[in-house]
Amino acid sequence: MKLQQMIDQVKKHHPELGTNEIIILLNQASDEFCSRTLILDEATQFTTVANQRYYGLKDSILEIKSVDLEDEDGNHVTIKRLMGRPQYRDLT
Amino acid sequence: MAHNTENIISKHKVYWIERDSIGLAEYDSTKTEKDQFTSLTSALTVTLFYYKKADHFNTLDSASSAMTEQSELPLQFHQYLVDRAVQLGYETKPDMIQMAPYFERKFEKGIKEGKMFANRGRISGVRHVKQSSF
Repeated sequence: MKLQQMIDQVKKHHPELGTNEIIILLNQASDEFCSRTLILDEATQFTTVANQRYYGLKDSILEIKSVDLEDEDGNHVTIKRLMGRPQYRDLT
Repeated sequence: MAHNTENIISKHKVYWIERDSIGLAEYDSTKTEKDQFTSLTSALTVTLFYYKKADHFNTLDSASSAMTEQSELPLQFHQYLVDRAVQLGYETKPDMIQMAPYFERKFEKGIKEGKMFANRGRISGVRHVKQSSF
């Protein structure tokens, strides 16, 4: 369904609402739907920087399922998730 | 029975999530606690697999706004987004607030169907039940 059709349907019930207001409500509904159902998944790649420990995550990521890391032979191997975090921090 | 320590791998690459970031390090169980984790020393490709939110519709003040946009959600769930928006609209009208629960029930039906769709195995594999606090 196209955005215009969705807006038209909402306006049938709420003709006083502006288009932007309706778009914000639809985005709110979409966020809630995705976070409660975990219906959408995706994979993305990035390259590490030597001696950098932390890499920011996009706001759209709800939950990391797994992480693969390239090994010395160029194979992509699933790595383990640490429970908690290292006791001694390195904030790089 | 003695363990064959030669076959035990002491080094592992590990990750963890902290402050909206992913931490990557090499863990070496043979070292002292302070030196057990070291940052990766070379440029390596990382692949993240994750659950995500759908991209937002652009509002009219955005340059890329278009009324032909479509939600990333499968088509059969688009109507439930409309139901939620209608419900939220009724919740702001004291004289018509009794309409809100009807559309809320429709949205909740969509959530149930969405969970079943997500668990069907094609897009997400087996879902593990886990404890969480709210």
